[in-house]
Amino acid sequence: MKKKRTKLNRRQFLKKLPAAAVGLAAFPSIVPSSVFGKPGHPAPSSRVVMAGIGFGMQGIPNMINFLSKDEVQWVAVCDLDEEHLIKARDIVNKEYGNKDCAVFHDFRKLCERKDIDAVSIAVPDQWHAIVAITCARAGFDIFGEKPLTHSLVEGRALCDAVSRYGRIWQTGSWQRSVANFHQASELVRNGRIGKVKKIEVGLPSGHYDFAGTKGQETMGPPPEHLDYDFWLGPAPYAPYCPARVHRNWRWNMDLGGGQLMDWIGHHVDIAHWGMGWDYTGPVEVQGTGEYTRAGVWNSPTRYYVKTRYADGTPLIVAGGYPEIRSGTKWIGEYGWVWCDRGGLEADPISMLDEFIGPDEERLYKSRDHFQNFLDCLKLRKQTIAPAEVAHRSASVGHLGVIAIELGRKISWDPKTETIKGDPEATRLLSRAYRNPWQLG
Amino acid sequence: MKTKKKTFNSKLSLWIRLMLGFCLLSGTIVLELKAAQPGQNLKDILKQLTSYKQGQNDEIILKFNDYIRKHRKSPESRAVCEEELLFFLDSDATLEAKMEACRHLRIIGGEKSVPVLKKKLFKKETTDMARYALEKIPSIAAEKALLDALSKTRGEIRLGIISSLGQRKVADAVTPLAGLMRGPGTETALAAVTALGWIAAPEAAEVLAETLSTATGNIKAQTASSLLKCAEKFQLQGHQKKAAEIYDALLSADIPALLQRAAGRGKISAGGAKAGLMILDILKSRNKEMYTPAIGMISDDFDDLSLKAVCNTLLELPVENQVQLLTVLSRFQKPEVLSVVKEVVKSQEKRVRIAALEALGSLGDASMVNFFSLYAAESTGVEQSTARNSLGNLKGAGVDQAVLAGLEKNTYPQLRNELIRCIEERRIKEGQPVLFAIIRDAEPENRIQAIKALKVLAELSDLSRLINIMLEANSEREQDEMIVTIASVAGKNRDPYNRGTVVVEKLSEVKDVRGRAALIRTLGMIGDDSTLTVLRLALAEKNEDIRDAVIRALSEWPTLTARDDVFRIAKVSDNLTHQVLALRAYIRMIGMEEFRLPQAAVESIKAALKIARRSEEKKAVLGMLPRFACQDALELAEFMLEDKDVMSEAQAAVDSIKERLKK
Repeated sequence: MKKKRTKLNRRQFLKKLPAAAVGLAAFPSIVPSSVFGKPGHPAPSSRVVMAGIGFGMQGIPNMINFLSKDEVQWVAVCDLDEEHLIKARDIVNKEYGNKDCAVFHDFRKLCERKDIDAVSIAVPDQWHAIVAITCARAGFDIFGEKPLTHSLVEGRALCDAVSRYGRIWQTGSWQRSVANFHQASELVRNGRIGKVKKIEVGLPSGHYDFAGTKGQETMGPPPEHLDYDFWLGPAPYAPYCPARVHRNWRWNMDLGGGQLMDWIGHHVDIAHWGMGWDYTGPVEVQGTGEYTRAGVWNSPTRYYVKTRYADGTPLIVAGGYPEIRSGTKWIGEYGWVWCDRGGLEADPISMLDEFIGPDEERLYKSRDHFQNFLDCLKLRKQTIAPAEVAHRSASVGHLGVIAIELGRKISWDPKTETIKGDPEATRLLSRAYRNPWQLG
Repeated sequence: MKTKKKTFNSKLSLWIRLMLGFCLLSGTIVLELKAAQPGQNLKDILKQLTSYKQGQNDEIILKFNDYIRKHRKSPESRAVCEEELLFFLDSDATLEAKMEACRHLRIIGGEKSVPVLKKKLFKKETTDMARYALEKIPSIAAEKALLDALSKTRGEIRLGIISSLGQRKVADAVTPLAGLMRGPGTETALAAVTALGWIAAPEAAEVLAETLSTATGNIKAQTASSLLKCAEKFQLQGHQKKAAEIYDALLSADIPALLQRAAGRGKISAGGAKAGLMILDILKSRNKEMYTPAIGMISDDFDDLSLKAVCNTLLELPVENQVQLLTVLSRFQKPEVLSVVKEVVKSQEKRVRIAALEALGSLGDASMVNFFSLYAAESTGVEQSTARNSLGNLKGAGVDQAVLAGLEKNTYPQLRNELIRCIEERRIKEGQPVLFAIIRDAEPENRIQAIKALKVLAELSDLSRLINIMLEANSEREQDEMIVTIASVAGKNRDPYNRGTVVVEKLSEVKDVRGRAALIRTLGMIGDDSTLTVLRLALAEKNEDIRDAVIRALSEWPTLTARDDVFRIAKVSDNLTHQVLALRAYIRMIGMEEFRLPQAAVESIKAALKIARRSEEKKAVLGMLPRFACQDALELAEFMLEDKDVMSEAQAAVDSIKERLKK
């Protein structure tokens, strides 16, 4: 387990790139020519200057969405993998027809730029807290991916930082900006199924091979284009193998949290929305998980987490249990509502024609998750998926992971965010960072 | 017998003593007696784990984890596990294996683990794994071990220890960390300052406050951040005064604006009953930097007096703060707020007007109906859509009645249009008869708007009536709009094979060509598969207008059932327009079969290419080909490379298919 630090240093990493494109060279006195941009674009005063950190998976589609907005001026990209970095840079430069996009290896250097309004962060989970808190302290508004953080303690720290520095945060829990999820949640919130007796959330099971690297677990030197040691960051050291890194890192519990954590920010987020639980969490959590696979992909392949909220309502989160249908299902006194991507069903079906009138509780409405972030950034207004809300959705998964690990019921106080009467479980609320990393 | 028994007992006693002696010699007596079986199994597992390397013998990890998870439940067997794991840490096992042991010590480690883990803190190879366990062991000894290591380590190892002390919030670490904070190494100093922010004890706040005036650059900024954390903690503990002192110190310090603003927010939140006055003072001051955080701190329980005073500052603020404040004020359903916002809607600044309109949507009542409908009628773009949204969102009794009354008394067509739109937006059921009346008698543009509104408000029972209106429509535009409305209302029928029934019934009654053609087009838009036979029969009619209507209806058909119909038309029609319409519909339908066997889809695509007469359709087909990537698709795309008219599209298809096949 010998650590090979910074195998590729920043200078080596960036030397192949044109000097003008390297972040520090361009920073800060030169305003990119593209700022004066395309005809018909908003004036620079109303433009949102953005940068992106992490382009291995969700970072690219997120950036493309932002690039489609006239008011966005994308000025920089940052990644620890040179291939991802170049790909991202080329997309930006092609969009603007120039070569102005700056590239950064180290997100901390990007955070030194004073001309950036907002960042889109799509890095592996083990990095979420550190990168986001650094960006918040740099004064950037943030579009960040779910799950909010890798641990509960990190989640609280991130929320506090966003609030402390007055930042606007949008989580990539985009389902909130889609009509069927909004309609389902509004029906439940307005009592159309009566008192909710139970909520079932079905998530995927197993491990999906996003990168085609399944089984590639022969340890060896990392490729030259990836600064692997930096990429691992605060996570415990582990030797390089393709199955551990890009896209599939989520199946390793040191880096991600398996299907449970990968999806918790979507369907449990919607369950909370319907229930008005955006700023709370369960009071009891128990769970079982099947650790069937040896090796790098060590997250549970099948899991069942049973929670109970303060009003006694149970919420089940399961992956690999066919009786729990994929998506979110609220079961109430008078019927049920179910929603998933592209689906909305109810019993009685006539409920779907019901209209939520102006005098009822209308939920926050957005039909474009990216535009909502940009609008809120300008108005200094809360987005549809703020950090605190994402933290509460993620908390269900984090507690589930702890309950599965310990094999017993945990009592949680969502107000103080502490586990009651279980010092062992409390130990799992966070983990020690590998040096030199520190939670800011 | 007695003697024999005594002899036997004494022999047994001797045997037990001998065994005890043996166990004592082996050094494991106490634990082994308590849990002989677990200990023994664990030893075997650990033996196998000794040579563990990731990617080589991973199965042992499952076995190891499973064992510990099962045996850590009782204190006795947990103690056995801990003992064995600690012994293992001192063995010659691989570092990867030892890390696995530390993962469990993170959960079960106690006082006994501390000295063993402490030894590992000092070595580069083992320091992280040791902290992984040690940071979580809840004992003073663990804190002392970290503190001791702090003074004896340097560089990255020490950075890790600083991080752990911070995360554990070790108050005894304040003095040594303060020393490091003032030391030469920037990285170490930054880490120490950060850790002090996590510790956030009064002593930590004191040393940070002292440093604030002397530190520079990054250290100063981090010191301010850590002080903010201390203040937040004090506030949570109810020490508002102590927190306020820190915020004051930060506000008077030379620190970046972001941190100043954070301190400003903190000061207001610690202000309790004085928060309102503080916000007001800021908004009246010239310190524009603080306007945004101050407005953001206006809470829902803001007192009326402060609220009124804040409202009075509105027009004096910079435009972006006016917009921000209007968004905040929209939460307060109070007359004094409403009257101020009503004034602001006259602002010269468009952004301010839009924010005011939005706020009025939350604050207003029935009395605002006329205002919003007129505003929407006379504006365009975002202002118009905001006024419309606000009209739709108005709360309170009487809003719906005010909308209907407005429609009755107003003659201005644009304003009436806005009210009709509002009937739809708010689903005012009582407005349905009004809409039917408008369709009969009103101005043409109001009629069109009413027809649109009926999409939402008409019921299945209204279908016959709607069809009659459609057949008697004054203009083609009205008829087209009505067809859309009829299709939309018919779609409310839960039975998909009964949606076209009313239209088919009417078709059998209507004799004139114009009416029949309109009904046939309506059937196409509804797309009830059970009505396809009716259309097939109509296609056989000689009248060209009827045939044209049928082909257009089939070309718009929303389901796959009409695939063969449109293919046949595309194949045999002499009329180029009909051929193109039908072929395009056929291509669209191929694309609808997302999960079809790719080879079968490619056969359909081949058939489409064969009958395509223009390059436009060939290009459309090639554009779809990569969605059904397979060898047949690739061969077809490569074959099309020979067609000069579509060569570049064929090449794009080839590239895309190859890419997908590679994945």
